Amino acid sequence: MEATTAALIGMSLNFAGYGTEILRSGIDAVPRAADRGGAVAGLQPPGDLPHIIVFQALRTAYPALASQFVLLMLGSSIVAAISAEELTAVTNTLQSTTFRAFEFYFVATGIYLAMALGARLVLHALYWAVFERGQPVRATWAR
Amino acid sequence: MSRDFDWPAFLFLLGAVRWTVLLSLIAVRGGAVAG
Repeated sequence: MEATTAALIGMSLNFAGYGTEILRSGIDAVPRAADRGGAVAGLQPPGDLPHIIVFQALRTAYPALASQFVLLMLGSSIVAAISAEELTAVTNTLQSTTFRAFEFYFVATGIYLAMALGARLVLHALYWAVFERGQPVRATWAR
Repeated sequence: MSRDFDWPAFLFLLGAVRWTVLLSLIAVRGGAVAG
């Protein structure tokens, strides 16, 4: 098995485990009264799932899922240990051939920081576009 | 013999960012399917 394939399988399983647990907690966080609210609006139990439960669960779980993605991206440096090609692996190679360890790791740290901030910005914009745009202003007690 | 940290080396590091992001995005996709 190639290193990249092994890295992808490992990272996917890691995200699957954490992501599933985050989604489960998001579903648990939806008040049971939401079902009854859906029934009042004329939605029957199987049909109300995407409209009532899933949307609220995703909105609740989204920030944690976004953080998990950033963690996964930063944690991908561990796959350098199995020679999968990514930033840390390339940095290791370069610093070992140039003997400029401080410079390369310093710059790699800055790049990881920029990646994390950039991903946070993009994911926050996505949250706004999907969950907040066009929504009425929420009452302060509902936040 | 050591050489300086130069512009091509920086660009090489930036090229590796592409793989890091791609790995993460594919892993998220795979994780969503597996989860």
